[in-house]
Amino acid sequence: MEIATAPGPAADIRPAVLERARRGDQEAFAAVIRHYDPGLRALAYRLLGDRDRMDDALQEAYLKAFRALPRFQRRAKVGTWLYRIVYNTCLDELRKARRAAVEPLDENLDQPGGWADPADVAAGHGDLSRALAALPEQERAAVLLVDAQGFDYRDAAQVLGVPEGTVASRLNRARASLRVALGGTA
Amino acid sequence: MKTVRDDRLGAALRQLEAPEHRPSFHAELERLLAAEAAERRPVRKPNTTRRWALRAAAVAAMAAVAVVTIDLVRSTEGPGPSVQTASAAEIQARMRTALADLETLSGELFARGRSYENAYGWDSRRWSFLLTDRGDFRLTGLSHEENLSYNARRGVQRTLNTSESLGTDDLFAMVRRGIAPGPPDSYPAESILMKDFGALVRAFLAADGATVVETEYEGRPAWRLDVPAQVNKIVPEFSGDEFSLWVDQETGLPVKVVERKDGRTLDELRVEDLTVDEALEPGALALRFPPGVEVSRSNDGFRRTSLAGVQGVVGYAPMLPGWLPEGFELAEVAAGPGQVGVTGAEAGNPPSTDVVSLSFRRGFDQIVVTTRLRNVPGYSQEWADPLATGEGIVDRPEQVVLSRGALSGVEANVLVVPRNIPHLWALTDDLVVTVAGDLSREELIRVAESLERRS
Repeated sequence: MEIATAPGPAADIRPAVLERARRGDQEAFAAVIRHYDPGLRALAYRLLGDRDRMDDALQEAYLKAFRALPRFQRRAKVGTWLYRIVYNTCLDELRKARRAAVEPLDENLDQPGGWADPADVAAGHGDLSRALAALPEQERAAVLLVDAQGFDYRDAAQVLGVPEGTVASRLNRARASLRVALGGTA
Repeated sequence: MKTVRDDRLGAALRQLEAPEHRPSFHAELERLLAAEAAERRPVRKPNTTRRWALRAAAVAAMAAVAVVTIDLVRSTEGPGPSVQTASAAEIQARMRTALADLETLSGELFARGRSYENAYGWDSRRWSFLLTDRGDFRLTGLSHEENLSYNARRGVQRTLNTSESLGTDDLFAMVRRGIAPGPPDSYPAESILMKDFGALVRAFLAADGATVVETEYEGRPAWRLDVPAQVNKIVPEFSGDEFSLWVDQETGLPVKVVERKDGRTLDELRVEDLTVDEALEPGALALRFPPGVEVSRSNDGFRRTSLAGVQGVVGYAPMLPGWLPEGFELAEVAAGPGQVGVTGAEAGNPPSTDVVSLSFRRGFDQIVVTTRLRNVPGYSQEWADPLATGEGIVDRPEQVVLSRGALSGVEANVLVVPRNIPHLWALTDDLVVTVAGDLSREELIRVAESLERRS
């Protein structure tokens, strides 16, 4: 286990590496993935709540990115673009699980009050872990991107596919819930 | 909007742990990527291609430029009073009906603006270009090392560039085969410059409500067509509220496209020194690699075939339009068996599977009709617009229920906006259907309503 210290979009991959990856260089693509993986892993894990599901979603997302990279036009930062692919893949995974489950397959899914990672509990962060998991995915993603990973509103808006104002309103709601868990007031 | 962070909360959230990947994760991923790369690599022997198919597969964007150009160049009326007072609709109509006799087009492209600086790290660039009516083209960077050629007959693209970021003279060479005739599948126009310029000119051709202003461009009389645009709320600082196209009155050539916001220029694309129908020097379109340069090779998976041969490749009958604007002819038939890439914003769609891509051409003008399987084993997500603008741009298509043809009763999504190629897409029970190209909203719908399965 490790503490996720994601680089966030501010530390973009070297353009030369990205250029080679765009041309189909598998090693260069692996370097791109390694660069962003810690932050993407943190986001995927907190959205999906399970390591295997996190890994499955990330493999699917990275494969999508590999396929789509030659067409990446660099309107957005590559980090932001990757985060959006991972975010969308995680949402697809959650929707898939909801459709498939007559009864919840995973007791961690959609439980009022959320779940707490045992490691978080052991480290004394159980309340925050549980409160985070209880947030709607969109709010959870917003607070993870902006407060935990250092995205600005514009980049977070690109990842989430919503205007900046919507990011701000989601953050307000998420922070109000999480501050209580931190022992403060909403 | 100013970003406000809760630093205490952020620090606490960073204390939450994320597990490492399972031990086999990277090996599994490596295998998946290798399998994907291997699918691209094999160079497939192309099927016999019919003579008329050789005229297809031009660079979409540059073709769009040519569309505008030729119509006005070929006019025998000249810049008389009736032309000078032309309405936007008249100019657009003349743009659409030109092209037919154009053989070659060459000139220079110049781009500058904030979005290029944001995306590429440069704020201005210049290229020379050469196009033919068969869809071949050659692009050469004049302000930097960038070379690209496309051979439509063979469906092969060659590129030779240095890495700007490395700051060295190391050259990267690549040969790409099996290219699709057009969007939404990856096609030669992967340059943001070419795609942007082409989409903008196409949008002017398709736009309702463009206004015409008599003006000057570099001391010469010109028309300026203005089209309002919706500001992208996700990246407003790089998103204009108006696009303008300058057309030289004497030659009828489109000479400049500008994106503005609140009256200030954000981005500018100019075409200069256009030459029409000049005889090509031998080898003018060729791009030869220097000895010793390592060449990367890839294959997009599309093979040129005949209409009769499509079903044998993909397993279903192609969908053909019974109506097209006057002058368009079927120019290229391509089939992509198996999985041939992915579409949609941020690659959000299932893999494109068993794709049929039909290109219709009227000189440099192009329409592309595609079908691909809707239901892909292992992928349950819904389809979104295969031609979505993406990368932070939120499209707002118009929903239209089609009333005729194989798509009768199907709800289609129509998108005609300055930042994208005019297109329509729809879902049947088993297929994803797209119609894209040099068409107005009404023409897109009419083409879609004329589609029928042909065995």
